[in-house]
Amino acid sequence: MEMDYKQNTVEEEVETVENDRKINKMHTKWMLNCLIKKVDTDFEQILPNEILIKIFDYILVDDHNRTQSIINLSQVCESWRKLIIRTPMIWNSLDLQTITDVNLNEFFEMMAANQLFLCMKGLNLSGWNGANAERVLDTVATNCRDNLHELSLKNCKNISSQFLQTLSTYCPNIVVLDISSITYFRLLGVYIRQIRNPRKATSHQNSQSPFAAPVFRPYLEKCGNNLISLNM
Amino acid sequence: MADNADHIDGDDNEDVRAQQNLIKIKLKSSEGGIYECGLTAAKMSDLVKNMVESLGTDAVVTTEPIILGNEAVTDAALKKIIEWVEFHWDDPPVDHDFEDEKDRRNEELSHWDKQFIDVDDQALLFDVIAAANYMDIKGLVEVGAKHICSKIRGKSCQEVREMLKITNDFTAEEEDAIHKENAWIYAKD
Repeated sequence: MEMDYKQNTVEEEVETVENDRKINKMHTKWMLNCLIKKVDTDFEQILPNEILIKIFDYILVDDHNRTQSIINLSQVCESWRKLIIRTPMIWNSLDLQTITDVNLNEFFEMMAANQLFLCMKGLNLSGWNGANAERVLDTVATNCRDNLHELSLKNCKNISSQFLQTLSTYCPNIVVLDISSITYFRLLGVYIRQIRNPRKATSHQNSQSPFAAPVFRPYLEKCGNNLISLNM
Repeated sequence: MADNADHIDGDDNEDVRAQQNLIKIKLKSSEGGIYECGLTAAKMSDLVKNMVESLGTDAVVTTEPIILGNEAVTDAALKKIIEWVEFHWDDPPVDHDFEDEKDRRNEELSHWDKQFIDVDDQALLFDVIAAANYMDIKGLVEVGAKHICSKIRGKSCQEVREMLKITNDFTAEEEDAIHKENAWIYAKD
């Protein structure tokens, strides 16, 4: 029944936000990979790059699906893709919340090689598994030169409290931080328990208060003044 | 007193600007066409402004045409650009370095600008924008960028290509695969 319903919605082009989200999730892997791959279509550019960047900027400002829209623009032609992956200004926020456990090595290598983290002010890793979220956060944090202002790690599971250390070292200017519903471990023992008995470990971790992390207090002491919104 | 003096200065400036706009200078397109334009209006182009100032006296300015060599400055584009600056020359000045960028990005185009920029001839539209960029007329570049933005926003890759008249080199099968992969775009409003 559900399949029929889905097909109908596509056929009838029923536009609902919820449906968009489902479809987005299905294609996120392709979406990020396509930024690395050459686009087969190209044409002679009449508009100078600085104007194209201005146009992209107008299109993307206040766009709630900014990351998807960037990727869409990049697929219009090869010249646009090249321009997009060489312009850090376009990448002032990155929303990866619909992506989970995808091999993003190539994507992040491309981002780092083109210094696309340089202007990054917002990063959304909601729902990621902790280890991957930390890896991405490390890369972004060490490359964004204090620019990161908004970070969401909502629902990240099994993240190590080390990320707070990363934030206080590299991202002291965070204004909006969402760490609601995260679960994390600080002791090896907890991690081992989780492997042996996932159910028990999960309930144990869920009961942990984020305040319990030994680096949380130092983080707040160092960077708390800049925080306007802290969602726990 | 000081405020009063500033105010008078401001009025004087407006008078000077109005008077200067009665002086007609000549602008020469890359195709060779020569067109007249009010001096104040023409100075909305930072390129022209710098050229006029480096030439010195008004006498020289009014006799010798200013050559705009960039290929985007066609006869048709230059005529459109002169139409725009002649309409906007007495706009209150905008400080592009300090104006709040975000406010300006969100500002709607005026009815006149919308009609001005909504030209059917795509090549002319691009020439006008590229020429305005070459002549450094920030206000007009912005009008052009906003217009193109409004045409692209929310469109699929294919629709954008069609709009920009980009030929598509994908095979039918590739196109089909991409269409499927792009389902989320088509479902978007």
